[in-house]
Amino acid sequence: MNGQAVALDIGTSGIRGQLLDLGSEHVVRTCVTSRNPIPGSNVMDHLSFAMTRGEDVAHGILLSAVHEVVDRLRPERLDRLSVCGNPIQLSLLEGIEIRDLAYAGENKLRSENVGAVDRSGHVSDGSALGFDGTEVVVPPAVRHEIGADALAMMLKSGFLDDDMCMVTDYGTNAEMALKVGDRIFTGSAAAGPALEGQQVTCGMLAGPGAVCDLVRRPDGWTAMVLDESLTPVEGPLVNLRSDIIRQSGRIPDGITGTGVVALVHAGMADDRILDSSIRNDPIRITRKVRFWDRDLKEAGKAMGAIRAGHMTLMASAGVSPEEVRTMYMAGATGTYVDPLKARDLGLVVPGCTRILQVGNTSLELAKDLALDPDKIGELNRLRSRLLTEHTMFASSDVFRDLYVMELGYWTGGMPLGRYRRLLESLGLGGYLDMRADASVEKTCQRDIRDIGESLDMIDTGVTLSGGWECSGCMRCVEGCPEGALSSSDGRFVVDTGRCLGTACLRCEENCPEKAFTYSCLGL
Amino acid sequence: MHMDIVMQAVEEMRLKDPVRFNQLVEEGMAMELGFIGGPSKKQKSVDKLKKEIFPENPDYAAVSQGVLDGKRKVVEELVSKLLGSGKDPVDVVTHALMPGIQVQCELYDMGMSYVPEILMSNDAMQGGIGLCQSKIGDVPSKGDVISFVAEGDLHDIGKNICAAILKANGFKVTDLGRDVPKDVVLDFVKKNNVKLACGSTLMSTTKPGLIDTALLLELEKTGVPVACGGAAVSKAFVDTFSNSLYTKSPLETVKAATGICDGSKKWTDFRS
Repeated sequence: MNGQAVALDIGTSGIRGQLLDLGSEHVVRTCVTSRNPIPGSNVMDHLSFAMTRGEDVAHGILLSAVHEVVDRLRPERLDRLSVCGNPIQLSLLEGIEIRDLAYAGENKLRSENVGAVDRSGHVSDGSALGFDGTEVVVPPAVRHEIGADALAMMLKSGFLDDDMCMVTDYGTNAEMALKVGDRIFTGSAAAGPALEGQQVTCGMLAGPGAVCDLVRRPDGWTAMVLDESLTPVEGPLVNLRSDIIRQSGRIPDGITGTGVVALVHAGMADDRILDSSIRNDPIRITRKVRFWDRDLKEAGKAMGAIRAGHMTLMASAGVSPEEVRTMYMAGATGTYVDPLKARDLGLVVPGCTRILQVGNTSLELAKDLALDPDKIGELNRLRSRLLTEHTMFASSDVFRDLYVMELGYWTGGMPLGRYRRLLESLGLGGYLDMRADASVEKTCQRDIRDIGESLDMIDTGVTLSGGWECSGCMRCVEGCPEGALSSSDGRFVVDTGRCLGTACLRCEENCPEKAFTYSCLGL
Repeated sequence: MHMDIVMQAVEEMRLKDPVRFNQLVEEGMAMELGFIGGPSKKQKSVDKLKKEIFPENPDYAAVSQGVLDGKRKVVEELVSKLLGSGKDPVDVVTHALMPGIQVQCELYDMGMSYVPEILMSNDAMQGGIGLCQSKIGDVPSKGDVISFVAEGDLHDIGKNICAAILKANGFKVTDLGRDVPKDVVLDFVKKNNVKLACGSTLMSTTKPGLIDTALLLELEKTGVPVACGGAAVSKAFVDTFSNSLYTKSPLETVKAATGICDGSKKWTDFRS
């Protein structure tokens, strides 16, 4: 019998795992989780949770979710496990220092005595992670901010073999890189989860029932809805001008990230969205599925951060938007979104003549390493050779100016004309109206290139629980915005994947007796 | 005037300009801005505002215009010329620089200008004020305020907007920058006549920095509370520690700073 290996990609919004046959190098089956198991909706909240509750708790949660995914993949004999993802998830999984990732400022790092952390790629024994007799392969982070996921994005898209090109992973934390000759400029914009369908009122992850696109018809737009096999099928017909809906086809349950992009694009095309606000709020798709002005603002912040990030990278490299010829779009949103609509909203550099949608590159790198762990050496050498010039957007004046303008436009009601003029004063005039004729190539049909015989989507069953003396009024359970909290027999149980963590704590806040103590909940 | 007509005007505005409408409702100014009787403030054009607020002296007016346009270089050039010709620096600040930002703020209040423009105007004005200060030291203000971003965090867009709007409203704001340890805040507060510290953070991991700073300032009996804001900060969070208040927007910060600096309010007045 051939040996088997599992390749994992741990992302901010979920874990993706694949079982591989080492002999034939084929994918046997795939399993994805609907959420990241650590409480919180973004990496900063994940870090904050790990620091307030102890890194061992976060490590324990992530590890048991990983075990759940691996068990679901039903390996007959597991020789190897390779894991790719951003440095925060990888460090939490391995249980190594995270404080250098938690603080952006030098002062705090100095006062906490946090030194440099070695994140080079390595192969280690899996017993520390509860995988006895299995070797664990972890790829390197280029440095502090540019994790293995960013390396994967550059390596597995074709970006490194190209020139005058840009690559972006459209995730909660949008990693981006620009290549000019031998120089690589990188950055990472905290876009927020709106482009993955989260933090939007009727938002959902890409799954059955999600609106994923809108198609132009003579009398409006047909909403495309994902069916059980995640194929888009026709849904209701929506006329944005008259606000008339004709129900037909598949009934949608929510809107996913690519649907948000399509909706904003259609709203602007039909003058329903003017100067970044929705007229006759909300836009209805069905009676239940609606897109509100506040959702538009949330999406706008995400799209604005990406557009400002792209402009900042080009400014640091000293190239003009016309010179950047190729755009690689990575990640699930980058693969499924309509690239021309995305470009019209500023998610793609407008001067590009070639747009490639390249899928989940992080999982691809994990797969390569699972099949051939010796590639780690090559990656470590590549890592030191990559002369990346990293722009920390948080401390870049250029980014700051641009992002304030984006915020002014998307959330402050600043008209587009005003934004154009302000950009001109920064020497970026015409960026908003530039459109090159672009060819679009899809290098894969799905974000996961090959799913094997089956694709399982699971909710991780990781929970934190605890109990204390209280009257049992249940205000904590009723007040939980995510429905993550339940109670039986005086014990309170939190579904960690749904819980928003330290950014929320409404359970503690709502408790009239001040008995609820989040920090008393344990694995 | 009949209530129906008022409601009609309000409704009309809601449809025509929802952004502005929401802004007004939020700030509770719908009545104040004259839907009832008289010409509404919104109809005043930029020219009219300029006529009201800008100085008559054409040299001074040119400085105000430079501030309004957000042109720092132009402003600095004009101000150094004025100072070179022997003008009083305090007069230049109050009658040439301030009117420019005042018009910008009025326009902002009316929904006709936006945060990026306020920041640019503020930048231009600061250029001019810097030149004047080098001549005379301090210029008169409504009170001394400091702004900082909590230790460990570098995200300062929110803090900058807040500081700019405080400055535009006549406060003397010393910006301690980003990634600021609590001891630096304490040290500055002890050596200067500061009335309020405004702290912000965007990252959830650095929120404890605000708690530490507020408690240290209380422990050392400085009498200086910390007004907290920023993406990671909520009212519920600020309510968990003393010597602090939560301000949701720059305008709320201005209101709080006004009360605290003139001595009529304490931090406890802003807590529920």
